[in-house]
Amino acid sequence: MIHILKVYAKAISFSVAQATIFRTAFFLFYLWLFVDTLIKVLFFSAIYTQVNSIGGWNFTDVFLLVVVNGILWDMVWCLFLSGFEKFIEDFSKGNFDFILLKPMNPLLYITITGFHARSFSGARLPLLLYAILFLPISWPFLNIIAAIIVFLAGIVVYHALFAIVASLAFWIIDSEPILDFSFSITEGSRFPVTIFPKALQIIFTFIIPIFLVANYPVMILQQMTSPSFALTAILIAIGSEVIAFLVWKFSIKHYSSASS
Amino acid sequence: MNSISVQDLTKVFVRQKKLPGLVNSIKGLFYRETIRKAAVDHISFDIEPGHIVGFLGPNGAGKTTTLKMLAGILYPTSGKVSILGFTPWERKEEFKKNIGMVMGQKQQLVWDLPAMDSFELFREIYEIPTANYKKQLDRLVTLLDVEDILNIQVRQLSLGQRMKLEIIAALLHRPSVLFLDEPTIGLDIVAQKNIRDFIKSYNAEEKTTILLTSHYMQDVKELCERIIVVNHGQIVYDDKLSKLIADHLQFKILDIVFSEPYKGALEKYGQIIECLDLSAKILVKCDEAVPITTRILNELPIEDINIAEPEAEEVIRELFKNA
Repeated sequence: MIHILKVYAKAISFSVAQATIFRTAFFLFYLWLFVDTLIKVLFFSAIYTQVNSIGGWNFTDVFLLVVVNGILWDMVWCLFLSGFEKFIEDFSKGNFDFILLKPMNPLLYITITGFHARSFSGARLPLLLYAILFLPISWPFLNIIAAIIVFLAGIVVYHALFAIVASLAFWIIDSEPILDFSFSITEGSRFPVTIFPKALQIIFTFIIPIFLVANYPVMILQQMTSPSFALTAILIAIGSEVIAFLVWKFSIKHYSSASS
Repeated sequence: MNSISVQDLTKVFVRQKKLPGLVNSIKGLFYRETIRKAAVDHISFDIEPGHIVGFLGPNGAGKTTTLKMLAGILYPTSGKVSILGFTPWERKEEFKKNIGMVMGQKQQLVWDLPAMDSFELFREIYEIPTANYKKQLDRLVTLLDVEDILNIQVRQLSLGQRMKLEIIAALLHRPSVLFLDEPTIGLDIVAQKNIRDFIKSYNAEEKTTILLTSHYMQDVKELCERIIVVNHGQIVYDDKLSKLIADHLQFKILDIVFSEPYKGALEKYGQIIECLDLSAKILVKCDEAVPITTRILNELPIEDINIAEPEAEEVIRELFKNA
């Protein structure tokens, strides 16, 4: 475990070095993340000038959903998604060979070395601060803890989801279209869960648990659902990770590399 | 105990046939014929510790596939392999810490960063104690003369410089077995020579077992006493390079310099290897070399003629042709 943490620390400093090489790109990316969230907030603000509630969600709920979803995606990109994306991009070139040579579980290696410092710029945090300071919210302590647990469980679920998508590369070589498809599916997580039909709500909460990721932390904070959902979220996260590990382990045996 | 022991190793790939053209591309979306091809076909060999062995063969002979199975990258279809007592495809961490691999056509160093950053990451991954890491790095840097480029972005380096750094990356953890897959490919003559000198001196000092593939015979001649030649996935020769040349020395080369430009037919004397206005090279059977030379001297305008033994390249080429 200490070894893994040491590699992780090195991978973080490695990623920071990479992120800061191109300074202009670094600051532009920060600006883009901030503007991206701001546009989404403005979009919903415009809608809420016409209506008071969407599927039972008021403006504050949706504002929080957009910001939490943004922070979540930053963390997902920062913690592992860049690694999976690079793995998928490089796979057909046979660059996975070098990963297999490293004395570390390949899935763990891709996750750890996929750390992408630039994504965790904190560009969404000013908007979260705005919500806390200026929007009418009151969060019980238990709900805050439960929301954080569900948020973290959501990150684990996304890790499992993208590990499964990445493992498809062993079968179909070019899994970029599947990656793009999963981005499209996960887009749904930035809208209030209650606007979807009941069947979709169940599928995307328990089977492909993307709503778990941003919707439920906000619902717990805003007392729209019970904090006890955190326990369910933990079980879903563990289950997702077990499934992902088994799929990966089975798929990697199919690796045929590329010719020299 | 052998460092590398291979028994009946086979790898069959199932490939999909892809026909050219728009119609075939659309057809291929719904149906594709599959082909089973044995890239490696029941090969067996052993390598003793500390030896450098050349693994030769034409493109598609199965060299890289074999190396990848020995390094644990690919699962074989059948057969047994023991590398330092490990079965490679079990991919045990202890095994991976004892092998290294350089692939001349691929790179593991991060493009945008100086190589030192990658080395530091590898140090942690391989759990190399700091003192050992520094000592090994200093040694490799000195041997390969790369001190000046360690802190320059990899993208700004020449191919030769990058290859030197790739070799360092593969040797930082001091592997006992090293797989070199075309380490000099694309390099100029000076860079090739530098890499060869390094491999030679490193092997002499460290007694690392090295399996080398290369298309450059100079690499093989300078580094490998023993060679294994594969073709169509099968071993066609496994012995000393010098023995191969002696065994296959059925031909000699007549190296001719004409006293004036000569355009006449030369085929009647033997197989033409090269033919220019003022010079030619002809391959003739060993026992016919002297009489044919006499005939040439009598019949053609000769400035100089030399009877030479074929180079290793030609012997190997002949071996591929006959296999």
